[in-house]
Amino acid sequence: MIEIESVTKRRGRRTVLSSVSFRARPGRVTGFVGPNGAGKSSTLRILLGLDRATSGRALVGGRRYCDLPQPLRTVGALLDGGGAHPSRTARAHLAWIAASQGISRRRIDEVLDLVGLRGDARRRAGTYSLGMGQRLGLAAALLGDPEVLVLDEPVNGLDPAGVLWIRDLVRGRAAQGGTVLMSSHLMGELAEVADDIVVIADGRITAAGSIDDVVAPYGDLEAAFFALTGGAR
Amino acid sequence: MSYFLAELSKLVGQPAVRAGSVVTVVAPAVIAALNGTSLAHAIEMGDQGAFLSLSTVDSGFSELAIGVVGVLIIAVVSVSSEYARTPAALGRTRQLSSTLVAMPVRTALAGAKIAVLVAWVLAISLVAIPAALVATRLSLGSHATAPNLWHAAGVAAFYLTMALLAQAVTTVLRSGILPLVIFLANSSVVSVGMLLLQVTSWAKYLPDIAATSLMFTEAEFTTGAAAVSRNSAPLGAATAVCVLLGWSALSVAVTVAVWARRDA
Repeated sequence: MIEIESVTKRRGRRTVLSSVSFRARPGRVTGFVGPNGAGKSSTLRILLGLDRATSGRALVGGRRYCDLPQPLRTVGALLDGGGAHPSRTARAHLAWIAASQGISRRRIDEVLDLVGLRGDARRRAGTYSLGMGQRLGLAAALLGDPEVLVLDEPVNGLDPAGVLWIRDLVRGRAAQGGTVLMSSHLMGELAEVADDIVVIADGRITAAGSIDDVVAPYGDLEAAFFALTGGAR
Repeated sequence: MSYFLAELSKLVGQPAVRAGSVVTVVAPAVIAALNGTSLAHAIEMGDQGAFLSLSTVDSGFSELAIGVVGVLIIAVVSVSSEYARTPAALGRTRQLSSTLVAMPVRTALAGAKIAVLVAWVLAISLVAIPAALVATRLSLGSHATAPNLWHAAGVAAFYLTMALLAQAVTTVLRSGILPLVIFLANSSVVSVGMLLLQVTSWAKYLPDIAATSLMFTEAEFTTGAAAVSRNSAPLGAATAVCVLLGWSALSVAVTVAVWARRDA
């Protein structure tokens, strides 16, 4: 279970997030949708301890992320693309992450196979395509075989086969009882995979609930998105 | 311990760190061998030539001063690598987000980065210093004098202090370019401390100048090839050690405080 409780974030005079609250439940895929700059990444960065909330709190399984021992065994995260140094090979990138969590090196080969990067594991991350970088980020997220997945724009740069692979992955995780929170600025993309949806615009939550409940008043996905985010058609 | 192992893996995996380590280990030894050969020849010919002195007491140590260039590269890259972005077409991603997600306890992360840097710099010092002193001894032959082991410890203290300082400055700036330019120019082109010493003796308390008080004899400090100041005596050993400890403690405090407080 992921709980975001009244999280406010100010940077200088600008309010980036305004009393943001929602939950992502086990056994379900929760889509987190909003236009670019709405506050999706800021919320996820606070959840994962990269940024501090001005007020409010974000919890995973009732604990702050930084209080989780070996956090990648509980939460797998994809933030900011792959998050690898361009001069490091994929295998070296995964090796230091594994070392930080006491994860065996055998698991590195398993996740490289899982994301289809085994054959390119000795290439430097800086030579990867955008999609390969995303796959490397997903490999890092899956390294600790976590119950919870937090994925920020995971389909960015992926080819159609990669998008289908992500859908199968997150549906599979949720089916096993895992908690999945994934963001996107594309409502249609999330509708293919999410059970629940949380809509954010200008740093405020404008709707949250099952995807049917959120969309029903507006007739279709596109109408719901524009109505809830204040955008023009 | 897992944070330390992860940071060690990250540091050693950087090509720039491996290159910096080679510079620190190889450059002083090679230069010491060349200088030693020339100095031995000058002594045997009784011709001082371009040498300021035919003393061999400080041989090897003045060459080790250049080894700090590699140390500075290592220290800067230990932090700047977190902020290096992939090209825009590849998402402009940074390692920093992976680091903070994997190691969210900020003070422990900063401590691991500092501990790994200290361990690595000490390890290459243990190779670089004997290598330069052996190269000196072999090239000087019978003219060699026994090296002062306290001066050898002074070189290690110099490397460590400058490494911690460069790491702290890079942490504050979140980029490696400016610290590299400043520190490398200061170490290889013109020393700000040596210029300031012409104006005020307080410059002796700058870390690189204080360190030279521990690395050289007073004669070398005031008149030798690596002379720091011709009109000012070096700091006493105890004072110099305290000055370096002070700079190191300040650097560590800044590094930890910035990692602990700042958003990614």
